[in-house]
Amino acid sequence: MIKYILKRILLMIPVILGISFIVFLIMSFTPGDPARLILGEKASISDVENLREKMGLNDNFFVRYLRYVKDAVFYRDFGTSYATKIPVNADLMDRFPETLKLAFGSTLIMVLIGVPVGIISAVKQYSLIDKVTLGISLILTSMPVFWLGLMLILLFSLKLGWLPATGADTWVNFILPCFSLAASMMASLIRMTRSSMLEVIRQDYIRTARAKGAKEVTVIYKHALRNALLPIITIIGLNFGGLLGGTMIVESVFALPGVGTLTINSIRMKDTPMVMASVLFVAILAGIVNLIVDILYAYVDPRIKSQYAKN
Amino acid sequence: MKKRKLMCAVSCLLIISMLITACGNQNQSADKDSQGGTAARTDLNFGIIGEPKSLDPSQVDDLVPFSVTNQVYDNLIYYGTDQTLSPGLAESWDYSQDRKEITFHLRKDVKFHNGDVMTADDVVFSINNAIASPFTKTVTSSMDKAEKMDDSTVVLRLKYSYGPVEYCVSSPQLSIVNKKVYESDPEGYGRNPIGTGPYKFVEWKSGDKIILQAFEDYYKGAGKIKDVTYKIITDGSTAVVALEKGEIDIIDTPPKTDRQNLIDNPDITYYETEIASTTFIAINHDSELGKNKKFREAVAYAIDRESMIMGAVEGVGTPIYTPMAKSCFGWPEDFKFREYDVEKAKKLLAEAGYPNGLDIELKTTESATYYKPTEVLQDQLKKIGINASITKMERGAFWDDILTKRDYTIAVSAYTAAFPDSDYIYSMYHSSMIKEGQNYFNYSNPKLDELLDEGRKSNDEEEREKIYREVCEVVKDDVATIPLYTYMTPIAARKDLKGVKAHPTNRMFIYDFSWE
Repeated sequence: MIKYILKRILLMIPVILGISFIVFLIMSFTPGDPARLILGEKASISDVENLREKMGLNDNFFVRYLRYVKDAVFYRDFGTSYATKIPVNADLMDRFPETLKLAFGSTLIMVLIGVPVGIISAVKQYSLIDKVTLGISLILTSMPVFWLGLMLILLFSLKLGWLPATGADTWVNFILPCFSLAASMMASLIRMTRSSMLEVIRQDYIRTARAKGAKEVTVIYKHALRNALLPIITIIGLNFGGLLGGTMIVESVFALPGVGTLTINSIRMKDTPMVMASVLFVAILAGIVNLIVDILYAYVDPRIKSQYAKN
Repeated sequence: MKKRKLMCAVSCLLIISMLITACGNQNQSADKDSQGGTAARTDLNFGIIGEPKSLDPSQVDDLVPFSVTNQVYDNLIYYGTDQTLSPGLAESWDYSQDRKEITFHLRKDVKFHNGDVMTADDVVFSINNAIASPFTKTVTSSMDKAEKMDDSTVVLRLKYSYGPVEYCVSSPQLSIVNKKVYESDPEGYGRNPIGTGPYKFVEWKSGDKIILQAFEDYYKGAGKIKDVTYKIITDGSTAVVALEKGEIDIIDTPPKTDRQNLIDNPDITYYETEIASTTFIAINHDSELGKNKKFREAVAYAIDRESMIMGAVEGVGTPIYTPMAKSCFGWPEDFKFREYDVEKAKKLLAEAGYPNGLDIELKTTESATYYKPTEVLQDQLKKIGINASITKMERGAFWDDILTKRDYTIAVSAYTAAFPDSDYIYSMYHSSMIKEGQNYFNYSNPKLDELLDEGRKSNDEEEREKIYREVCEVVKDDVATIPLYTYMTPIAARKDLKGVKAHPTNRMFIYDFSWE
């Protein structure tokens, strides 16, 4: 198992290098000039040219890329932001806790509501509850996140005055944004939980458990759910990994200082060091989350654990 | 089983009590806001739509950082919201005979936020640092250098006698910084600014807020507002909701789409004034069509400014017929450009060699300031036979194409005056500014160059007014650019907040504010 984990970690290295090359390529060759964006629209052509020279932007692409990799690998220096002139790590680490709170909160809400609703939907298949839950999940997933967020602000902040509209001061500030995000992701979890449960509760061992007199709650939660967990964990893991990349729309609507807005603003400013740092950071986190999901598989299903051990 | 039920019940009670406490806190803070009328507040929550890149005044050139730096720093000359100039850190100043030198006599009772006393060395350093910066050319192009005469006297030497120089000295970009601290960490100064202004910097939480506090040793006395929090809200609609809810007390430039909503709100006061800016059609005089005067004239006659204003800024604007903004010295009030005439436009287009019309590309960007008038322009050009396709570009790409590569024929653009004097258009229209300034029209006209040079150097107000009227005539005759309109710049604030005033260049000083 340990060998498997180490192998997965080592495999991440070429992946990260590949991502860094692609992102650097995109940032270098898409339209827009970082020097112009820094100096603003009133800067003259000669000022822009001078700044480009000073920033080394006129150097060959490969020279610049290799310089970046060398500094990152050997000196752990990911550069300073073109826009703010502060080390990119500092800004990223400032913003990441807010994104983490948003990711955890949304995932928690998604799981606490989505999994039980999916289970109930499966157990009461074709009933009114099943139809209503599927209908609601379809409506929630169809609503654009920014629209839902603004509607929640209008209702709970402005009209009722129960919750704050903006900021990240306390955990209360995260209730509305987390609900907005969870609502959009919940539908897929409800449907996956439902179909996974349906597959399992039709199995012979479930019939055997019922025949042996086990309580329905035990049958569903102890026997069925455990065996239905693999696809559910996959969906949760994928969504959580995606959330760690930040959700620019929700962060903008609720004025949360997260990684999403940082990345998008950096892309707009052609702030290559910041974009590289953000994307690579998220890529590493996504890799770690996928690894954790794979490890969880092993604990949920002993057959998978033995496969890892063999490989 | 009993244990599990008990645990469940306890967890539920805990969650409910936490929610009640949190909501209770929200209600208390809402109550506190609503009680603002009975007990005078001393805090201010300022919503800014965007985040400054830096608070180093010589390294920025847009309104978002200025709204903060205007509170943290001071200038030698103060340009207030009443649009008058008055002594700031300089008690007085006088000119040499040829008006190429200004001698500033500094106040002696000014301290920086870290306790250092401001000296001539700080002033000299700040001015020379600004002159060397590529961000400040619009206000420092006339300046050569500053020199210390003694501990409280500084001479600013100009390259030429320059009428609007006092406005330039009052620019946020020429704010006075602490030389010793700046030199010890030039890159870090923008994140930990130290000024002499009425508010000292406390904290900057990236993407979230910037906190300032009243400087008790401010030379004019401490401000009535003691604690200022700039909340960074990138979405305009969210900022408006936060204002309505009382989470923030003031927004600088709220979205125009919420204008009526804010005006109708009894808890909010909406201030607006005409911005010192022009929206116009830029013409690339190096492009094939741009070189064709008949084409330029045809486009000029195709413009219906009233419809443009309705479509682009929901009717909240006024037509403009001059290259300079209205609030600038030298603006001729009665001047008119070519009036809307579709038939004349079609005739001119035919004379230009396009009797059957033609296709052109209109580049624009995501900001409504640009794409909305571009859409209206597309519609108006269609009436005279020009089929314009709109290419909406990301801001960086747009600036690159229009400003640097100059890869366009015509495009809607906007320009805000750095100071209220018509000389600001020098850097846009003088031929020497094609590479060294903002003449991205590639426009070269010796007659216009001569007029702009004369207007710059003259100190006779009457003479200068005549010169700038002539400048308008040349721009009109040759269709250098096509002026469209100017719009209103708004501020929305809680009604209890006093001292707020809209300014054509968006200057705002929290020192003037107080709660009722």
